[in-house]
Amino acid sequence: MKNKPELLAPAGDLERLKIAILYGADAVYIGGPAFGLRANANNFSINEIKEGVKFAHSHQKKVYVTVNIVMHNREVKELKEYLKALKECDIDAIIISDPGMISIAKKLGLEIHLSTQQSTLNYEAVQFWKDEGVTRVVLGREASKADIREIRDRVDIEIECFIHGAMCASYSGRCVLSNFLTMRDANRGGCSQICRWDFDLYDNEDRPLHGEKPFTFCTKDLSMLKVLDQMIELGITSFKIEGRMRSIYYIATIVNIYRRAIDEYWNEKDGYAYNKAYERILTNCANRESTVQFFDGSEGVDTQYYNGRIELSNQDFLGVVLDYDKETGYAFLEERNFFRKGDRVEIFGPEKETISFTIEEILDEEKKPLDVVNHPRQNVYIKVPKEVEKWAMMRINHTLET
Amino acid sequence: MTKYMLTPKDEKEVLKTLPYVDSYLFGIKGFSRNFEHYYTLEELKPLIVELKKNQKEVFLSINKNMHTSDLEPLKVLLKECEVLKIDGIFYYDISLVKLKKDGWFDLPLVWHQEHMTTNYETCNFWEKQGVSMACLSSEITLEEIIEIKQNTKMGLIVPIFGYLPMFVSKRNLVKNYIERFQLEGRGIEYQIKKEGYTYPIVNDEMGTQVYSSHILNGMEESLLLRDEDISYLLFYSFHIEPKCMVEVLKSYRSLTRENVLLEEEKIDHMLKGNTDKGFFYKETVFRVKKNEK
Repeated sequence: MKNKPELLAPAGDLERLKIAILYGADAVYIGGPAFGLRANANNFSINEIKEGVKFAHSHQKKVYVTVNIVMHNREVKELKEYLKALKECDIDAIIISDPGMISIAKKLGLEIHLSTQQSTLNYEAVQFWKDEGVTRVVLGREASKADIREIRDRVDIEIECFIHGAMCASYSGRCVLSNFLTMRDANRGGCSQICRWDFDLYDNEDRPLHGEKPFTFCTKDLSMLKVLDQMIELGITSFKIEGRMRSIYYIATIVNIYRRAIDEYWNEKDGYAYNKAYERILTNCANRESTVQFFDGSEGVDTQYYNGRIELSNQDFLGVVLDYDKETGYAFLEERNFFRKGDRVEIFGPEKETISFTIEEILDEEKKPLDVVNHPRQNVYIKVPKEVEKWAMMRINHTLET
Repeated sequence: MTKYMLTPKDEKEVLKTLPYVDSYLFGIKGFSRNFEHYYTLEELKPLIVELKKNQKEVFLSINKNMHTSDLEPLKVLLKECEVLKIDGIFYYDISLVKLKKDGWFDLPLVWHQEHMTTNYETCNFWEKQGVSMACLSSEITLEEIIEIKQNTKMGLIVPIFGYLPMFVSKRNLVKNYIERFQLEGRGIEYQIKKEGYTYPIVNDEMGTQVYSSHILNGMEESLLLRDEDISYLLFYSFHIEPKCMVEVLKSYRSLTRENVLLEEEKIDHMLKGNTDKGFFYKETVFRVKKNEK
């Protein structure tokens, strides 16, 4: 009997950690004040890690901390104290890419997960890491269905795979374009995403090759929603969502959709059907095209992205529910994008069913009527047809679109 | 004594550089990345015999990322390498370490996860796993190289000359672009340009590789590294004209404290000034915004 896969979400700060857990993540991964591959994100202080762990554990969820830089000598000297501090936070595991950390982590009794930065794609390598005391391997994003199945069959170890989010154009860990072009160290958290830049392409005799769009390394995002049933049947331990720098809306939406899809398949495999509406919500939220990338063994022109960064709507997220008054039926919201009376919207939340309605009444904080909400983070009251919960989110309703 | 290792362009280059090179590093068809030419073992056999006759060492780079389907052919290859008494195997994928630990083959291993070989602690980790040498990252400083040397018993290889590998992908990035916009394909070697710099890019059957815009020329630094008893200095011949490569090696071989500046100037001139010192004196940064926590 396979275990139900863990849904693992990114969290860039305490608010996003709470959102991820409330919306259905079984575990979150976060970056601490050092040694993480998102050096320029906000990241967590040691005290915030403690608070996040306390919150997660109180909901029976787990917290993994990324310690996934490739160390230079200087970091070697600072590692022990940092890992000690993490151990005292009662975290559930660290995610490393540099095996130079294994010995100290083991001595401290920290559980070790191996990062995708090692691009592990075969069972011999997985067995090696298991022998070294690693309890989970995050496979390389290039792993095909056949790779995953073979590894799963041959090595008794936890396997983690990405299911959603951005992709490296290279094998993870084998790109230092950022180092050479901007002096920012890709393998120590400074990646400046050169893969999303445009370049001019020439042949070896200096003759240009000009397409309608410039040459880029950029790839479409990953979305495994279409093959989620196959992923579950492979017996993968953990499904990982990429994006520690993403917004609370992104986290809530993606976690919510995958939570529903996993539960729906798990609870009734025979009756499971792919939900097109989920795909539409993911597409609108992520703002980029996506594919299953290497899972089906194919890689080709359809996995490349030549349209720059902006595509489709990214204005869906309208507000966060801060409170609800049962007596009056008003939700108290913080605005995140322009909306007005007459807009068709829906509110989705961690627990309750999604409700769809047309906004008929808006009041400002003094309870005076408003037609439009267009100030950043403006607090307003909205009449809603059913009870909503704190941390629920309001978005544009796309259900009537074709 | 520090030895000189070359990744040769082809057999002609091997023969021309024999007097100046101690060790040759070859790429194997289907198993290697970042080489200008890939050989089958059959093709290499007579060359290996010839090189051994000349007391030269032969290393093979088996540095592709291995999928599960690659493992059986890899095992066969490693057995054949053992018979040929190869002097060492450069590896990227960890399956090679596992296979050696399991006794599948017995040849010295060189840790070459090219951008991850950046500190002494991890060198020591691999040494405990039975790995003999590490080929250090091109993205660390001279000072860091020397500190690694002082804190590990491992033999060290330092890239000293050539266009430096900086990107390896399974994706066919150039082929996809050509197909998407219905352009005429022109072989496997191309260039990409940005802000006045030109970067060689190769899209072959293994995927895509990109190289630095400038040629690393660490002539003066090679003297210091020799003094520090670094085991090997590595010369990449990719994209370098064959006649220049011979001159470069001859010049490195002739270096003394007295002539180094003149020799360096001569080589820089020959390479049309497209040289630099890589990261020997430049430390990369990774936190551009102050973390207040």
